[in-house]
Amino acid sequence: MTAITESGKAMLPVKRKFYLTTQFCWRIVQILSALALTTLFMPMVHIASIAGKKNLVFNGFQILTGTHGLGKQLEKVNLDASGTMVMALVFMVLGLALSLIRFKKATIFTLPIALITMVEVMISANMMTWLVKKGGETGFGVKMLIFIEAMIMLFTFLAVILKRINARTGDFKSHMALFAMLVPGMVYLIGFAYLPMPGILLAFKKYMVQGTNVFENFFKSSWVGLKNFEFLFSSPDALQITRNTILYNLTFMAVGLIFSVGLAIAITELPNRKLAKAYQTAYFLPYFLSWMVVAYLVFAMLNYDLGVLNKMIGAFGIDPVNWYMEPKYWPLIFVVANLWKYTGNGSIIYIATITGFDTEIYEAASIDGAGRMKQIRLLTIPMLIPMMILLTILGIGRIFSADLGLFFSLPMGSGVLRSVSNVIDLYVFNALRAGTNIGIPGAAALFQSVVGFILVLTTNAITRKMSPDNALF
Amino acid sequence: MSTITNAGTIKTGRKKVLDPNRMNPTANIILNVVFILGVIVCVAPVLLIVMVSFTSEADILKYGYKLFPVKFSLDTYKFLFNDPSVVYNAYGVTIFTTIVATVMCLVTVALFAYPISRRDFKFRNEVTFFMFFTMLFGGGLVSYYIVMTGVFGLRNNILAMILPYSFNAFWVIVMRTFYKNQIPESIIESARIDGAGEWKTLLQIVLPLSLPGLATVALFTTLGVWNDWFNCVLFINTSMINLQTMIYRALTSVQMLRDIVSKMGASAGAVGAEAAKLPNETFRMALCAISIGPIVLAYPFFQKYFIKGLSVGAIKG
Repeated sequence: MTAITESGKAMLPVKRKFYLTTQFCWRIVQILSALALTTLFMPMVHIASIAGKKNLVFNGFQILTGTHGLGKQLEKVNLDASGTMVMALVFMVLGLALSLIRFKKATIFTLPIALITMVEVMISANMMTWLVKKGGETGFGVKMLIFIEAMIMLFTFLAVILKRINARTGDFKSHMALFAMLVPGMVYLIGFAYLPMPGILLAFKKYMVQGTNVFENFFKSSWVGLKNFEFLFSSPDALQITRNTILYNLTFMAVGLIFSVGLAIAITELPNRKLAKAYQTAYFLPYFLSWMVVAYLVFAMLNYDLGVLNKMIGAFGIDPVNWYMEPKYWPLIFVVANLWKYTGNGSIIYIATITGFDTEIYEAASIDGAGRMKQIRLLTIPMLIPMMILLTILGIGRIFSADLGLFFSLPMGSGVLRSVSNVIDLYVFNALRAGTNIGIPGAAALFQSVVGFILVLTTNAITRKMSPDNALF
Repeated sequence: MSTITNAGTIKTGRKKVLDPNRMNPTANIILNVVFILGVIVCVAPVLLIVMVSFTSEADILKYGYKLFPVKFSLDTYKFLFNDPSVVYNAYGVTIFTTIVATVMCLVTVALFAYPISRRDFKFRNEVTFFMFFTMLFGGGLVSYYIVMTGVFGLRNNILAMILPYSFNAFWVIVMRTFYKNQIPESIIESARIDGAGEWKTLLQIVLPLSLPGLATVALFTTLGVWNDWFNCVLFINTSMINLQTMIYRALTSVQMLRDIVSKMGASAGAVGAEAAKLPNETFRMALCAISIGPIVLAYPFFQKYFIKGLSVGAIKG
C-alpha cells in the first residue's frame, strides 16, 4: 500500500504476494496429504466383538493391509473389505504422489488431485460405514481422515481459484479486497437462495420426517415420480388456484395501468404544483400500510353490525349484507383494495416519465393551436405507451406469483371465501402452516417457480427486442 | 418530490407563466374537486380507524364505526396503557428486527454492489449473474420453509424475522446503478493513486458520496421489515410476535382478542359486570392505530427518497 506510486514497481510486490498465497494453499495441501497417511495409524474402527475377541480396536493401516490376522477375522463375519482396501490404497498413494510434487502448471494437475481426493473420501467413508454397519464404531481416526480429506479438497480448489484470478486480473491483492466485500452477500445468496433450490426436487418425493436432520429426511424420502403432480392436477384446487392467480393479476394490471396513467397525467397537468405535491403525498399513503392494516380498514367497512358500508346501504333501505360470507362480492373487493394500495405508487414512474418529456414539443403544439385535451391525447399518451408496454411485459413475467398478503389477510380466514381468494401462494402457504404432506404444495411451488421462470425469460426476450435499455438482462 | 420531478416542476411552472390560458378555471376547479375526493378515499379509512379508537365502546355498539365520533373518548387508550406489556412486547420485536435487519441489509448491499459496479473488477459479470439468477428462479416457499426451519433452525427464533431481510438483490442492482452513475471513475482512480486501498476508497470516499442511495435502501428495508408479517406468521408460534402479526391475530381471532382484553382487565381490577363492558371493538382499532402511527407520521418526510428509489429502480443502469 505504501509504494504504489509507480505502476511498474508496484506490480512486483503484488505478484510476489500472489505467489505466496497460492503457494501457501499448495503447501497446506501437501502437509495435509502427508498427515492423512499418519491418521491411518489412528484408531479407526472399534468392534465390540468378533469371534470372541472383545473390544477389538484397529486402525486404517490394518484395514488397508489386512495384517495381524484381521483379514481372517473380518471374513468370519462376512466382511470382505479387500476390494475397497486396494482401491483406497491406490488412490491414496496416487493422490499423495501428485500433491507432493511441486507443479509449475498447477491448473492441469489440480483437477485430478481434487477428483482423487474426492473419490478417496467416498471410499474411506463408504468403507467405514460398511464396517460400522456390521457392528463397529467409528473411532477418532476416521473422523480425522475425512476432515483432512475435506480440507485438501478445499485448499486445492482455493489454489486453483486463486491461480485463475491472477491469470485473469494480474492484480491479485486489489481483487482480494473486492472479493472480501462480496462475502456477506454471497453467504446470504448461498444460504437463502441457492440452498433451497435443490428443495424443488421435493415435488418428486414423498417427504417423510425420519429424524431431526433435514438432509437425512431429504435423501431418505422415496421418489414417487409425478404422483404429487397427478394428485395436485386431479384435484379441483390446481385449476382454481391457477385461474385465480392469473385472472387477478391480469385484472390488477389492466385496472392499475389505467388508474396510474390517469393519475400521473392529471397530477402533471395541475397548475398548482404545491397542491399537486400534497395530493401525491396523500395518494402515496396506502403504499406504506401493510396488508394487515388494510384488512382492518376493509373490516371497518364491511363489518356486518358496525361496518360503514352496511350503515350506508341501510340509509337507502337496503338490507345489510354479510360481506364475509358472500364470495360473489370479493373479486371486486380485491381489485378495489389492490387499486387503493398501489395506484399512488404505480403513478410515480409515469410522473417521472412525463416530467422527462421535452417541453418544446408541447409549446410547439400549443402554438399550432392544440388545446390541452388534444395535447394529452396526441402527445402525452402516445409518448407514454412504450413505458406502459414495458411495465405490462414485466408484469406478465410475474403473473404467476400473487400478492400473498392481499389474499391472506383481507378475507380474515373465512372458509367460504376460499373459492375466490385461493391463489397459488396462499395454497402453498396454508398447506405449510397446516403441516400436511409437503409434496403436494411442493409440486404447486415447483409449478409456479418453473412457469414463472419461463415467463420472465420470455418477457425479457421480448423487451430486449423492443427496447434493449429496459431489458432486465 | 424527487429531483427529477422537481426539474419537471420548474419546467411546467415556467410553461404556465408563458401560456396563462392553458387551463380554464372551471376545469381547474373540477380537477381539484376530483383530486380532493381521491384524497378522501385514500386518507379517510385510515382516519376512520384512528377515530374509532377514540370512541367509547358503548357508542360504537350503538352507532357503528363513524368517522366523526359522537363523543370523543380516551377510555380505550387509558385501558390499553394500564397494562401496556402486550403492545410494548410487539413494538419491541418490531423495532428490534427493523433496526437490525436494516443495518445488516445496508452493509451487505453497499458492500456487494461496489465490486460489481467497478469496471476493472474482472469477475463482475459472473458475480452479477450469480446474484441475478436468484431474482429469476427460486426454490419456492416449501423449500424456503424447510431450509429455514430444518437447516438454520429458525423456528420460534427472532432471527427468522431478520435474516431473510439481511440482503436484497434488487437493491444491489439499484445501488450498483447509483455507484456507476454518481461516483465518477476518476475519483476512485485518484484515490488509488494517492495510496488508498479498496476498503479505504469504499469507506471514506464512495460511501459518503452515496448517502442518498443508501438512504433509499434503508428506508425501503425499514418499511419492508416493519410491515412484515409473513415470516412471523410462518415461523413464530410463541408470544414473541411483531406488530403486524399481533394486529392480525387480534383481528381474526376473537378468542385471542378477548383473552388479551380480559387479562388486561383482570390486571386493572375489572371483574364481573365491569369485565363485560371492557372495550373489544375499539381496543383492536387502537392496536391498529398504534401500529401505523410511526409510519404515517414519518412517511411524508421520507417520501422523496421513496419516489427516487421507485424511479431509479425501474430504470436499468
